[in-house]
Amino acid sequence: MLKITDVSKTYGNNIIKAVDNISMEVQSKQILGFIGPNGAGKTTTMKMITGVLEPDGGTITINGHDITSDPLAAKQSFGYVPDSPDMFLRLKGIEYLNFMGDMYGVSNEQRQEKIASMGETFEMTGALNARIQSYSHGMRQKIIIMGALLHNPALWILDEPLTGLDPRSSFQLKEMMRAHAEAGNCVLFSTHMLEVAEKLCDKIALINKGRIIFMGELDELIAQHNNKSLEDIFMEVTANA
Amino acid sequence: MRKFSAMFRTFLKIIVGQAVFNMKVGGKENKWAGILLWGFVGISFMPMGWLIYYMLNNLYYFFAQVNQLQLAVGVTLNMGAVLIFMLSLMAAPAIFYFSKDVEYLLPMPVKPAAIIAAKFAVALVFEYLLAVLLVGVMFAALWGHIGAGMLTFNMIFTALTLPILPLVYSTVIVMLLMRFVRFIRNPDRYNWIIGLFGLALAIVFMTQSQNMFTIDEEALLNMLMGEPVAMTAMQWIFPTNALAAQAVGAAVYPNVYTVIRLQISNISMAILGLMFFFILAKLLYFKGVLGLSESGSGGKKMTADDILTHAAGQSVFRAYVMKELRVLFRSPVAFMNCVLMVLFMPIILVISIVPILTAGEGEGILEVLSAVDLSDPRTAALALVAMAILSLTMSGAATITASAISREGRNFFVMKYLPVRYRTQLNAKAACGLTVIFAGLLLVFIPLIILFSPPILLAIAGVLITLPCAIFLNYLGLFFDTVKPMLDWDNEAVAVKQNMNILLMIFGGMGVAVGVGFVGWFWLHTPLLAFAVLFGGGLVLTALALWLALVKGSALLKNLH
Repeated sequence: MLKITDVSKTYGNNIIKAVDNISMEVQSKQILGFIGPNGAGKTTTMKMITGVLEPDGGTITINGHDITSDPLAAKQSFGYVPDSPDMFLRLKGIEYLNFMGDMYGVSNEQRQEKIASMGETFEMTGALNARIQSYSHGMRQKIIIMGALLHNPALWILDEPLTGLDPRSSFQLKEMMRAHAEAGNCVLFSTHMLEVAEKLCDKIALINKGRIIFMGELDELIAQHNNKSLEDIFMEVTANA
Repeated sequence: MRKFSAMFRTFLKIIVGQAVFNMKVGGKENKWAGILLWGFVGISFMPMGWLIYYMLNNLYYFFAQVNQLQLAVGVTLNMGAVLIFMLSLMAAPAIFYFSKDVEYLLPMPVKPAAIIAAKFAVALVFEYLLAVLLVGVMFAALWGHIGAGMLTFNMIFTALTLPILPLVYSTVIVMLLMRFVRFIRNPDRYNWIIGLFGLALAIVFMTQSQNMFTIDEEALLNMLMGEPVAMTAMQWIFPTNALAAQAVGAAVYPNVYTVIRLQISNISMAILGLMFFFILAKLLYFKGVLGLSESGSGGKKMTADDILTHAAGQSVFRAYVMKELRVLFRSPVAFMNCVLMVLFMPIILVISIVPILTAGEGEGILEVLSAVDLSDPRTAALALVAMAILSLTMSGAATITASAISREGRNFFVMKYLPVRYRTQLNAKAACGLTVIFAGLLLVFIPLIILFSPPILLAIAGVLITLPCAIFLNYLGLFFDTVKPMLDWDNEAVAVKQNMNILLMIFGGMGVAVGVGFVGWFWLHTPLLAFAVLFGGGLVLTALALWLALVKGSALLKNLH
């Protein structure tokens, strides 16, 4: 579903690579948790996957489409929730959702069904007629998630999606992620909440200083570190790396 | 005092930093670019400064001869105070309310009064800039009527007190509005209302200024003396100005003790005004500002049934254009600077011309207009040249595309992950700009056709010529903004008001318009030749601009991070 091979990224004339020759793969029916300290390269990697940044080298394919050579087909295959939800603030919620539906070519029937169901799940239906500017941080996060998932993409790319969500919405989103993976799709999400990663992810990618220092199943990681908790392992490997 | 000073410096740094140091050259902040830009703006205002000096000089000369110098000085100061009042109505909410910093400051160990004082002092600094400019021009105009020592003494005290009461009034009004009128607590809504109010005042000023500039000093004196109620009211509203004006009057003789007494009264009155402000501000400010950042969703609540009617699709291009138009029209700063300039330019033109044409002195102009013979080939050719110049000027003023990428700001990355070609997105942004320009041109065509009743073929040719001119400049502006967009800003005004791409588009439009005028005047002597050259040339330039914006622009966007 998502394959990253030998991807690197350096900003400007900086000698230090923000992302240093990373490779990873997310297959269908998987939730991959992308964890690492601040500035480790998570957001840079996600921006390269989504086509926002161009890698200096390496390839990224989504559903078999290369993000550099076949960007439109690749972009059509994923839904992206960026790290900040402060977007499209002067549009009303419903206008934003319609805009996203139009950009991804969502049929009227599908968008009505999806908006109604997600509106109910996230308790957003009543607020859709108001401008996003008037929303709280959590509501903005919810509307951006709704817009990203409207076209029912096979791959969800979520950068810190749980930040600002109330417990109910957070629970609902986690349930949706699980259901999405079980339906044969996949989810890549970054988080600093290690207990969420522990409970939700099928696989973990641990990144530090631009390099993937572990990629595999959580049990494997724990076994490698004498059954320590993920938090302890995180502290240990990010300190030593 | 240390805490007040620290807050004052920080607030000032933020605002001055946004205004001056946000200018970027080669992707890096460059304060000299900002200083140069402001220097350029300052130089642009020099002719206006000279005009004001010239008017004041004549005014003071006449009023001094009839021993009414203080009356003229009072009127000047009151006009300056009204201007400061209006400007601070716009600035005060940004400093006191919409900066959203009070909720971070209040938990700190600082006195609430110190926060108010620091914010007021920052607002005062900007009003002092205006006061010093005005008083500087007054100083030059009063030179010769009053001895240098007395004049300097008077002008220093006058400049010190001039902005205090207008700022106190405007800030108190803003505090009352923010405290009691919930509707106005939205920054967009407030800026809309104040912006339109300012525009209405500008239109009233433009229509009335015809009389003001033609009136002679004697008539003005009679007018002022004939309005004792208005004069007394102004004395009550701005007592500091009245005292400063009396001091200037006393300095003519010179009566040193009276001057000193009046200026001490002036300063005392300003201090009283400040005390009045602090008492009211303590009662009003924190009750109004707290909770301002808390959001409450407005609009009619949507139901599940409403979704069936509201969730409807359209083409990618149309949806993108509609999104652009919605954001443009809902952003006060973008609307005022990019849209209103184009749509109101024709309206202001009509409002300014109609009173002249209908008044007695308009007869001569009407005679000239009726003598325009558009069946004459030379005149018809010049009319086509004029249409091209008009289109270029109006398109240059509509800086929608020159700021289209910059206005995206840090959310520019959305353009990159949407599954839509850059070319389609750029075309949609250009279509948004063209929609506004064509609406503005239509507003100009109607009065022109009524006024000149041109032959139908000439009218069609004129309209056709405006199209490539508008499209060319529109896409050229878009290209400029793909080369160096201004994406790193906290306040949208920076992307619109301090954007070099906008200046490039305005001056580019003017430059091409001057070139067209030059070519038209010397070489285009028949309407057919004028149409062929202007329309054909316009098409060539349009093709070039399209290539630049869509081919080069798309490549630039692809590499822009």
